Amino acid sequence: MSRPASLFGLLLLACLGGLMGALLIGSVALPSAEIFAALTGNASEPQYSIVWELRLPRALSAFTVGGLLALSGALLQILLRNPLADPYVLGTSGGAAVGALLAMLAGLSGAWLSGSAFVGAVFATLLVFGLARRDGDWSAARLLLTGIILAAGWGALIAFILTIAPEHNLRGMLFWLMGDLVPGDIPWPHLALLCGVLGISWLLARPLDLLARGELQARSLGVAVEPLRNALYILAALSTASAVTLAGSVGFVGLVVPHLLRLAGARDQRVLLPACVLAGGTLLTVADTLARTLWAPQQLPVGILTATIGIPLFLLLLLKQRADIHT
Amino acid sequence: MTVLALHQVNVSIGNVAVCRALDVVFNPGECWAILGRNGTGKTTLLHTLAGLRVADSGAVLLDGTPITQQPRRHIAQHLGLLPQDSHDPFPATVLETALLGRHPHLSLWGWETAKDRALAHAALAQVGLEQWDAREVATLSGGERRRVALATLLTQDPDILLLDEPTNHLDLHHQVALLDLLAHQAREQRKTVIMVLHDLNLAARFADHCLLLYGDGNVCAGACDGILETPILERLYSQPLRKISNRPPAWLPV
Repeated sequence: MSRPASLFGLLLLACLGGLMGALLIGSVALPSAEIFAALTGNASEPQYSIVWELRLPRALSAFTVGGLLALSGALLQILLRNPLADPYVLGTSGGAAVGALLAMLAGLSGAWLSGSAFVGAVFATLLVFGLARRDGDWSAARLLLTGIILAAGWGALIAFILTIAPEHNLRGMLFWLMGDLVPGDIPWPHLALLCGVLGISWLLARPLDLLARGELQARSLGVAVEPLRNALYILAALSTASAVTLAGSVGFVGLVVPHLLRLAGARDQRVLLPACVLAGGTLLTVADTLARTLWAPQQLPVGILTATIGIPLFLLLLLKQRADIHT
Repeated sequence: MTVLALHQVNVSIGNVAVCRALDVVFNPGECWAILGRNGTGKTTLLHTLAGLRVADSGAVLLDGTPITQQPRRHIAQHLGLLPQDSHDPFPATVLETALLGRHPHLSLWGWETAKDRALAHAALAQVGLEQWDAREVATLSGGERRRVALATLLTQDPDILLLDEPTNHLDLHHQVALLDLLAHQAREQRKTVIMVLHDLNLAARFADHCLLLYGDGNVCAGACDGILETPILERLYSQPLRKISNRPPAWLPV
């Protein structure tokens, strides 16, 4: 079996396992037979509600956020030709955080809170894009610097809001900042966006491979670079904004999952991009399952768990690769 | 075969006039060397020829049509560029890198076929890297990476090859082997080869046409015989030269 095929087999297995785990594990013990019965619509209350209203929406939210962040990270690393780029490099998370924290400060919650975060994310992205442009063009370095500088500005604003926020708001704000999934419905619009972005970027995969080698090389090999860059920017920004709206700024997934997969042999974007969605989604689903059960009934912010799982995994692959080169 | 031509082209970069009202026709089978001091606009002119840069005025014609009006994909099917540097920020193997050259010939969503792979393998063999296809590009030496970049261009297999200092990083043997290969492609396969070179003696040995950029807008272009003369070259490089051989012509800086 070819390497990509076995990689996808492994990822699909992990993905199914992760989703099953998210359905099976929780404060109420449900045997797998009852879960299947509930999934096919043949269960009575409360099993039906636990599966359809609590665990499944939560698992799908986690998967969507993880998939969006990993995909967005991979796209931005190509756009900026910088392996250190992550989904937040355009200041998206900072803008979203300021939007969300202001909403919390105003006592808003639910759709208002996520709406406010989304507006903040889109505003921050447009601000970076507008400022980085010069003569209708922008370079990767300029975009990166503008994003980093504005992110620092958002950081200062966040610190300011945290300082003046009343005591009872602080915990919620900190959880949001660390990345936290909240109970809700199945996130259909976000899932649809994930599928859409993956579909479009998959069709652009070979031009993306060329763009990774630099704009000159890409253009001389027949890629219309300007429209491609704009498309990439929009796809990545929408994905990040969508993920941040759903779960706050979950760190680590967007930076590390693409690298993890490259180390595992997925280089071709046609392999890497779908693999990112599966791996990022699975990582966050597993992390969220742990986040809500490890310390139960207390929930941990999922960002802590993504780091706890991802860092050793990443270091392991990195060390293994170095060993491969030296033997 | 494809003909590349300059029609009344003006190019400048910053306050350097690269060329003024330049008319040149690059015919199939010709091997051109672009010569000049640093900063006279050799790369700029090459990029203009590739349609990657718009001339101040005049037109670069690819088969009679202004190149700026043609889609990049169509251009890339006929014209290829070896950039001065290559970038590989992400891991890739030698074969994957060479296969990038097939992009303009594949439909947007098509995958590389066995024929594309065969072309890439043949190109790697031509630059002496036939056993290296599975190696990581990042683990190669500078000269080996240069040869991989050249293999990408050969895999693209364009009618017109533009090369920006192709002998950069190459050892003496590979410099000669590479230029021999390019001159051969021009002669036997009726390709047009246009390259920026810094080594005057290699240019004189392998090119049959040359284009001299003086950096003040003056250009001298045509067959090497009659242009590659000691007084002209001394003026071009602002460097006294002594001719030490006639066939092939060679000079020493004095």
